[in-house]
Amino acid sequence: MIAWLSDWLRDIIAVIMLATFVELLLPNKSMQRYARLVIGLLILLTIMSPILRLLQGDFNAKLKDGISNWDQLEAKHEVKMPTLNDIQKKAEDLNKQQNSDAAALMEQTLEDSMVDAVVKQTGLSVEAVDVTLKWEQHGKTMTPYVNAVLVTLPTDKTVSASSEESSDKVKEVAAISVDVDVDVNIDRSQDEDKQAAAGAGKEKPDDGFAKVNPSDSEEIRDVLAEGWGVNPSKIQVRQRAESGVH
Amino acid sequence: MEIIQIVGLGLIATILIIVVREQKPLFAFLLAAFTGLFIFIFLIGKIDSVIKVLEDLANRSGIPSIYLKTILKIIGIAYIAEFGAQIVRDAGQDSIASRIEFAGKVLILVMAVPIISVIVETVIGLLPAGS
Repeated sequence: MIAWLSDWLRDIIAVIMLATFVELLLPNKSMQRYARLVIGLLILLTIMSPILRLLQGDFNAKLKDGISNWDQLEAKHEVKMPTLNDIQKKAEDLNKQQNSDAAALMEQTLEDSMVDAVVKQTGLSVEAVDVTLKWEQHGKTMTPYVNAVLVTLPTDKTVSASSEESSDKVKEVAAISVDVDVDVNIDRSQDEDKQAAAGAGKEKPDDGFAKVNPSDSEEIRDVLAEGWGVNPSKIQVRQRAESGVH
Repeated sequence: MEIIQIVGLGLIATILIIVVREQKPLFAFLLAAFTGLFIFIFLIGKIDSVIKVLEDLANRSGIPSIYLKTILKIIGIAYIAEFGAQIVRDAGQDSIASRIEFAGKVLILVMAVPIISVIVETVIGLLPAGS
Protein backbone atom coordinates (compact mmCIF):
# COMPACT_ATOMS: atom_id res chain seq x y z
CA MET A 1 0.00 0.00 0.00
CA ILE A 2 2.75 2.38 0.98
CA ALA A 3 4.75 1.44 -2.09
CA TRP A 4 1.78 2.07 -4.34
CA LEU A 5 1.16 5.42 -2.67
CA SER A 6 4.77 6.46 -3.08
CA ASP A 7 4.67 5.46 -6.73
CA TRP A 8 1.63 7.56 -7.29
CA LEU A 9 3.11 10.56 -5.49
CA ARG A 10 6.33 10.24 -7.41
CA ASP A 11 4.41 10.28 -10.67
CA ILE A 12 2.54 13.40 -9.69
CA ILE A 13 5.67 15.20 -8.56
CA ALA A 14 7.52 14.27 -11.73
CA VAL A 15 4.72 15.52 -13.96
CA ILE A 16 4.49 18.79 -12.07
CA MET A 17 8.22 19.32 -12.32
CA LEU A 18 8.02 18.58 -16.01
CA ALA A 19 5.25 21.14 -16.31
CA THR A 20 7.32 23.84 -14.63
CA PHE A 21 10.24 23.17 -16.93
CA VAL A 22 8.00 23.39 -19.91
CA GLU A 23 6.53 26.67 -18.72
CA LEU A 24 10.03 28.04 -18.58
CA LEU A 25 10.80 26.79 -22.03
CA LEU A 26 7.75 28.17 -23.74
CA PRO A 27 8.49 31.24 -25.82
CA ASN A 28 5.68 33.66 -25.20
CA LYS A 29 2.56 34.35 -23.22
CA SER A 30 -0.03 33.64 -25.85
CA MET A 31 1.27 30.14 -26.40
CA GLN A 32 1.60 29.59 -22.70
CA ARG A 33 -2.12 29.62 -22.12
CA TYR A 34 -2.73 26.78 -24.50
CA ALA A 35 0.24 24.78 -23.43
CA ARG A 36 -0.83 25.22 -19.84
CA LEU A 37 -4.18 23.72 -20.66
CA VAL A 38 -2.65 20.60 -22.13
CA ILE A 39 -0.16 20.22 -19.32
CA GLY A 40 -2.93 20.75 -16.79
CA LEU A 41 -4.85 17.93 -18.40
CA LEU A 42 -1.81 15.71 -18.15
CA ILE A 43 -1.45 16.49 -14.45
CA LEU A 44 -5.14 15.81 -13.95
CA LEU A 45 -4.73 12.49 -15.69
CA THR A 46 -1.84 11.57 -13.44
CA ILE A 47 -3.71 12.49 -10.30
CA MET A 48 -6.75 10.59 -11.43
CA SER A 49 -4.79 7.56 -12.51
CA PRO A 50 -5.83 5.33 -9.56
CA ILE A 51 -9.49 6.01 -10.24
CA LEU A 52 -9.02 5.53 -13.94
CA ARG A 53 -7.23 2.27 -13.41
CA LEU A 54 -10.00 1.15 -11.11
CA LEU A 55 -12.71 2.03 -13.58
CA GLN A 56 -11.42 1.10 -16.98
CA GLY A 57 -8.32 -0.98 -16.63
CA ASP A 58 -5.30 0.11 -18.56
CA PHE A 59 -6.05 3.64 -19.63
CA ASN A 60 -2.48 4.29 -20.74
CA ALA A 61 -2.91 1.84 -23.59
CA LYS A 62 -6.15 3.57 -24.46
CA LEU A 63 -4.43 6.93 -24.50
CA LYS A 64 -1.67 5.56 -26.66
CA ASP A 65 -4.23 4.11 -29.04
CA GLY A 66 -6.04 7.42 -29.21
CA ILE A 67 -2.90 9.36 -29.99
CA SER A 68 -1.66 6.95 -32.62
CA ASN A 69 -5.12 6.92 -34.17
CA TRP A 70 -5.04 10.65 -34.30
CA ASP A 71 -1.61 10.67 -35.89
CA GLN A 72 -2.72 8.24 -38.53
CA LEU A 73 -5.76 10.30 -39.27
CA GLU A 74 -3.54 13.31 -39.75
CA ALA A 75 -1.11 11.43 -41.93
CA LYS A 76 -3.96 10.28 -44.11
CA HIS A 77 -5.00 13.83 -44.80
CA GLU A 78 -1.57 14.86 -45.93
CA VAL A 79 -0.79 14.59 -49.60
CA LYS A 80 2.25 12.45 -49.85
CA MET A 81 4.85 13.28 -52.43
CA PRO A 82 6.88 10.24 -53.41
CA THR A 83 10.47 10.60 -52.37
CA LEU A 84 13.39 10.14 -54.70
CA ASN A 85 14.07 6.75 -53.18
CA ASP A 86 10.53 5.60 -53.87
CA ILE A 87 10.79 6.71 -57.46
CA GLN A 88 14.10 4.96 -57.93
CA LYS A 89 12.78 1.78 -56.39
CA LYS A 90 9.79 1.88 -58.67
CA ALA A 91 12.01 2.43 -61.67
CA GLU A 92 14.11 -0.54 -60.67
CA ASP A 93 11.06 -2.71 -60.33
CA LEU A 94 9.76 -1.62 -63.70
CA ASN A 95 13.14 -2.30 -65.22
CA LYS A 96 13.20 -5.79 -63.80
CA GLN A 97 9.73 -6.46 -65.07
CA GLN A 98 10.65 -5.22 -68.51
CA ASN A 99 13.73 -7.38 -68.55
CA SER A 100 11.83 -10.47 -67.56
CA ASP A 101 9.17 -9.73 -70.15
CA ALA A 102 11.82 -9.31 -72.79
CA ALA A 103 13.45 -12.54 -71.70
CA ALA A 104 10.17 -14.39 -71.91
CA LEU A 105 9.59 -13.02 -75.38
CA MET A 106 13.10 -14.01 -76.37
CA GLU A 107 12.57 -17.52 -75.04
CA GLN A 108 9.42 -17.79 -77.08
CA THR A 109 11.04 -16.64 -80.31
CA LEU A 110 14.08 -18.81 -79.70
CA GLU A 111 11.88 -21.82 -79.17
CA ASP A 112 9.93 -21.13 -82.33
CA SER A 113 12.99 -20.64 -84.47
CA MET A 114 14.67 -23.70 -82.97
CA VAL A 115 11.66 -25.83 -83.79
CA ASP A 116 11.71 -24.52 -87.34
CA ALA A 117 15.39 -25.14 -87.78
CA VAL A 118 15.31 -28.65 -86.36
CA VAL A 119 12.34 -29.59 -88.47
CA LYS A 120 13.91 -28.18 -91.59
CA GLN A 121 17.42 -29.47 -91.18
CA THR A 122 16.84 -32.88 -89.67
CA GLY A 123 13.44 -33.74 -90.99
CA LEU A 124 12.31 -34.90 -87.57
CA SER A 125 9.04 -33.67 -86.19
CA VAL A 126 9.40 -31.79 -82.96
CA GLU A 127 6.68 -31.44 -80.39
CA ALA A 128 8.18 -28.70 -78.25
CA VAL A 129 11.40 -26.93 -77.46
CA ASP A 130 11.79 -25.50 -74.00
CA VAL A 131 14.49 -22.88 -73.60
CA THR A 132 15.60 -21.73 -70.17
CA LEU A 133 17.45 -18.45 -69.95
CA LYS A 134 19.71 -17.37 -67.16
CA TRP A 135 20.97 -13.93 -66.31
CA GLU A 136 24.58 -13.01 -66.21
CA GLN A 137 26.10 -9.93 -64.68
CA HIS A 138 28.00 -7.87 -67.22
CA GLY A 139 29.26 -4.86 -65.38
CA LYS A 140 26.10 -2.99 -64.53
CA THR A 141 23.68 -4.63 -66.86
CA MET A 142 22.31 -8.12 -66.74
CA THR A 143 22.44 -10.08 -69.95
CA PRO A 144 20.63 -13.31 -70.59
CA TYR A 145 22.22 -16.46 -71.93
CA VAL A 146 20.79 -19.79 -72.89
CA ASN A 147 21.15 -22.07 -69.94
CA ALA A 148 19.33 -25.18 -71.02
CA VAL A 149 17.40 -26.45 -74.00
CA LEU A 150 14.92 -29.28 -73.68
CA VAL A 151 13.70 -30.79 -76.94
CA THR A 152 10.67 -33.01 -76.82
CA LEU A 153 9.95 -35.28 -79.71
CA PRO A 154 6.49 -36.67 -80.29
CA THR A 155 5.71 -40.35 -80.16
CA ASP A 156 7.13 -42.02 -83.19
CA LYS A 157 4.07 -43.79 -84.48
CA THR A 158 5.58 -44.86 -87.74
CA VAL A 159 8.18 -46.78 -85.86
CA SER A 160 5.66 -48.65 -83.78
CA ALA A 161 3.62 -49.38 -86.81
CA SER A 162 6.46 -50.53 -88.97
CA SER A 163 8.37 -52.33 -86.28
CA GLU A 164 6.13 -55.33 -86.62
CA GLU A 165 6.77 -55.65 -90.32
CA SER A 166 10.37 -54.84 -90.73
CA SER A 167 12.92 -54.79 -88.01
CA ASP A 168 15.87 -54.11 -90.15
CA LYS A 169 15.78 -50.38 -89.72
CA VAL A 170 18.53 -49.10 -87.55
CA LYS A 171 16.35 -46.42 -86.13
CA GLU A 172 13.92 -48.69 -84.43
CA VAL A 173 16.55 -50.85 -82.93
CA ALA A 174 18.24 -47.88 -81.47
CA ALA A 175 14.95 -46.52 -80.20
CA ILE A 176 14.22 -49.71 -78.39
CA SER A 177 17.70 -50.41 -77.16
CA VAL A 178 18.04 -48.83 -73.76
CA ASP A 179 20.79 -47.36 -71.60
CA VAL A 180 22.96 -46.05 -74.39
CA ASP A 181 21.45 -42.64 -74.18
CA VAL A 182 21.91 -42.35 -70.49
CA ASP A 183 25.59 -43.07 -70.81
CA VAL A 184 25.94 -40.55 -73.56
CA ASN A 185 24.11 -38.01 -71.53
CA ILE A 186 26.37 -38.44 -68.57
CA ASP A 187 29.45 -38.25 -70.73
CA ARG A 188 28.36 -35.09 -72.38
CA SER A 189 27.15 -33.31 -69.35
CA GLN A 190 30.04 -33.81 -67.08
CA ASP A 191 29.68 -30.33 -65.75
CA GLU A 192 26.04 -30.94 -65.10
CA ASP A 193 26.10 -33.13 -62.08
CA LYS A 194 24.41 -36.38 -61.41
CA GLN A 195 21.21 -34.59 -60.62
CA ALA A 196 20.40 -34.25 -64.25
CA ALA A 197 21.21 -37.87 -64.91
CA ALA A 198 19.16 -38.94 -61.96
CA GLY A 199 16.34 -36.68 -63.02
CA ALA A 200 16.49 -38.05 -66.52
CA GLY A 201 16.49 -41.56 -65.17
CA LYS A 202 13.47 -40.76 -63.05
CA GLU A 203 11.62 -38.94 -65.72
CA LYS A 204 11.49 -41.71 -68.18
CA PRO A 205 9.42 -44.20 -66.29
CA ASP A 206 7.28 -41.57 -64.57
CA ASP A 207 6.39 -39.12 -67.25
CA GLY A 208 6.22 -41.46 -70.14
CA PHE A 209 9.27 -40.36 -72.02
CA ALA A 210 11.14 -42.89 -74.02
CA LYS A 211 14.77 -43.03 -75.05
CA VAL A 212 15.68 -41.11 -78.10
CA ASN A 213 17.57 -42.51 -80.97
CA PRO A 214 21.15 -41.38 -80.30
CA SER A 215 21.74 -40.37 -83.88
CA ASP A 216 18.62 -38.21 -83.84
CA SER A 217 19.57 -36.47 -80.68
CA GLU A 218 23.07 -36.03 -82.00
CA GLU A 219 21.68 -34.40 -85.09
CA ILE A 220 19.46 -32.07 -83.13
CA ARG A 221 22.31 -31.13 -80.86
CA ASP A 222 24.49 -30.31 -83.82
CA VAL A 223 21.84 -28.13 -85.39
CA LEU A 224 21.22 -26.20 -82.22
CA ALA A 225 24.89 -25.85 -81.36
CA GLU A 226 25.67 -24.54 -84.81
CA GLY A 227 22.74 -22.21 -85.10
CA TRP A 228 22.71 -20.67 -81.65
CA GLY A 229 26.05 -21.51 -80.14
CA VAL A 230 24.49 -23.47 -77.35
CA ASN A 231 26.76 -25.75 -75.40
CA PRO A 232 25.77 -29.27 -76.55
CA SER A 233 25.96 -30.53 -73.00
CA LYS A 234 23.11 -28.26 -72.09
CA ILE A 235 20.78 -29.67 -74.69
CA GLN A 236 18.46 -32.42 -73.60
CA VAL A 237 16.46 -34.44 -76.05
CA ARG A 238 13.60 -36.66 -75.03
CA GLN A 239 10.77 -38.43 -76.71
CA ARG A 240 7.28 -39.24 -75.67
CA ALA A 241 6.81 -42.91 -75.00
CA GLU A 242 4.42 -44.75 -77.27
CA SER A 243 2.37 -46.05 -74.40
CA GLY A 244 2.54 -42.77 -72.59
CA VAL A 245 -0.31 -40.74 -71.31
CA HIS A 246 -0.77 -39.08 -74.66
CA MET B 1 30.70 32.40 -23.71
CA GLU B 2 28.03 32.12 -26.32
CA ILE B 3 26.08 34.97 -24.84
CA ILE B 4 28.83 37.43 -25.81
CA GLN B 5 28.83 36.11 -29.36
CA ILE B 6 25.10 36.38 -29.64
CA VAL B 7 24.88 39.84 -28.13
CA GLY B 8 27.73 41.00 -30.35
CA LEU B 9 26.06 39.62 -33.39
CA GLY B 10 22.83 41.29 -32.40
CA LEU B 11 24.50 44.65 -31.86
CA ILE B 12 26.35 44.53 -35.17
CA ALA B 13 23.20 43.52 -36.99
CA THR B 14 21.26 46.32 -35.35
CA ILE B 15 23.82 48.95 -36.32
CA LEU B 16 23.97 47.67 -39.88
CA ILE B 17 20.21 47.63 -40.12
CA ILE B 18 20.00 51.22 -38.90
CA VAL B 19 22.60 52.27 -41.46
CA VAL B 20 21.01 50.41 -44.34
CA ARG B 21 17.40 51.12 -43.54
CA GLU B 22 17.45 54.61 -45.01
CA GLN B 23 18.69 53.50 -48.39
CA LYS B 24 17.33 49.96 -48.75
CA PRO B 25 14.54 48.90 -46.43
CA LEU B 26 14.42 45.50 -48.10
CA PHE B 27 17.99 44.69 -47.19
CA ALA B 28 17.39 45.84 -43.65
CA PHE B 29 14.57 43.35 -43.38
CA LEU B 30 16.63 40.53 -44.86
CA LEU B 31 19.43 41.26 -42.45
CA ALA B 32 17.07 41.17 -39.52
CA ALA B 33 15.49 37.94 -40.68
CA PHE B 34 18.81 36.20 -41.16
CA THR B 35 20.14 37.37 -37.85
CA GLY B 36 17.09 36.04 -36.14
CA LEU B 37 17.38 32.74 -37.99
CA PHE B 38 21.02 32.40 -37.08
CA ILE B 39 20.45 32.99 -33.39
CA PHE B 40 17.51 30.64 -33.40
CA ILE B 41 19.47 27.82 -34.98
CA PHE B 42 22.43 28.54 -32.74
CA LEU B 43 20.28 28.13 -29.66
CA ILE B 44 18.26 25.16 -30.82
CA GLY B 45 21.32 23.03 -30.11
CA LYS B 46 21.43 24.33 -26.55
CA ILE B 47 17.82 23.45 -25.90
CA ASP B 48 18.85 19.89 -26.60
CA SER B 49 20.48 19.61 -23.17
CA VAL B 50 17.35 20.86 -21.44
CA ILE B 51 15.29 18.29 -23.26
CA LYS B 52 17.74 15.61 -22.18
CA VAL B 53 17.17 16.62 -18.57
CA LEU B 54 13.45 16.36 -19.09
CA GLU B 55 13.80 12.92 -20.62
CA ASP B 56 15.96 11.81 -17.75
CA LEU B 57 13.40 13.03 -15.28
CA ALA B 58 10.64 11.25 -17.11
CA ASN B 59 12.54 8.00 -17.29
CA ARG B 60 13.51 8.03 -13.67
CA SER B 61 10.05 8.72 -12.35
CA GLY B 62 8.35 6.33 -14.70
CA ILE B 63 5.81 8.67 -16.23
CA PRO B 64 4.44 7.24 -19.45
CA SER B 65 6.54 8.25 -22.43
CA ILE B 66 3.41 9.49 -24.15
CA TYR B 67 3.22 12.40 -21.73
CA LEU B 68 6.74 13.48 -22.49
CA LYS B 69 6.17 13.09 -26.21
CA THR B 70 3.11 15.29 -26.08
CA ILE B 71 4.86 17.93 -24.03
CA LEU B 72 7.87 18.02 -26.33
CA LYS B 73 5.62 18.33 -29.32
CA ILE B 74 3.91 21.27 -27.69
CA ILE B 75 7.23 22.98 -27.04
CA GLY B 76 8.35 22.41 -30.61
CA ILE B 77 5.16 23.74 -32.12
CA ALA B 78 5.25 26.78 -29.85
CA TYR B 79 8.83 27.61 -30.76
CA ILE B 80 8.46 27.20 -34.48
CA ALA B 81 5.20 29.12 -34.67
CA GLU B 82 6.62 31.90 -32.53
CA PHE B 83 9.74 32.20 -34.61
CA GLY B 84 7.92 32.29 -37.90
CA ALA B 85 5.40 34.78 -36.61
CA GLN B 86 8.10 37.12 -35.41
CA ILE B 87 9.93 37.14 -38.69
CA VAL B 88 6.72 37.89 -40.51
CA ARG B 89 5.90 40.59 -37.98
CA ASP B 90 9.30 42.16 -38.57
CA ALA B 91 8.38 42.45 -42.20
CA GLY B 92 5.32 44.40 -41.17
CA GLN B 93 2.71 41.74 -41.91
CA ASP B 94 0.96 41.62 -38.59
CA SER B 95 -2.11 39.86 -39.90
CA ILE B 96 -0.16 36.94 -41.31
CA ALA B 97 1.85 36.72 -38.11
CA SER B 98 -1.29 36.41 -36.05
CA ARG B 99 -2.53 33.67 -38.39
CA ILE B 100 0.65 31.73 -37.83
CA GLU B 101 0.23 32.03 -34.11
CA PHE B 102 -3.35 30.91 -34.44
CA ALA B 103 -2.24 27.85 -36.35
CA GLY B 104 0.25 27.06 -33.59
CA LYS B 105 -2.48 27.32 -30.96
CA VAL B 106 -4.81 25.06 -32.88
CA LEU B 107 -2.11 22.45 -33.32
CA ILE B 108 -1.32 22.54 -29.63
CA LEU B 109 -4.97 22.00 -28.83
CA VAL B 110 -5.08 19.08 -31.25
CA MET B 111 -2.44 17.41 -29.08
CA ALA B 112 -4.87 17.56 -26.20
CA VAL B 113 -7.73 15.82 -27.95
CA PRO B 114 -6.81 12.22 -26.98
CA ILE B 115 -6.21 13.26 -23.38
CA ILE B 116 -9.49 15.10 -23.20
CA SER B 117 -11.34 12.15 -24.67
CA VAL B 118 -9.93 9.80 -22.04
CA ILE B 119 -10.89 12.15 -19.24
CA VAL B 120 -14.37 12.71 -20.61
CA GLU B 121 -14.90 8.98 -20.97
CA THR B 122 -13.91 8.50 -17.35
CA VAL B 123 -16.17 11.21 -16.11
CA ILE B 124 -19.08 9.74 -18.03
CA GLY B 125 -18.20 6.34 -16.64
CA LEU B 126 -18.26 7.76 -13.12
CA LEU B 127 -21.84 8.92 -13.50
CA PRO B 128 -24.37 6.32 -12.48
CA ALA B 129 -25.80 4.64 -15.51
CA GLY B 130 -29.48 4.92 -16.34
CA SER B 131 -30.17 8.09 -14.41
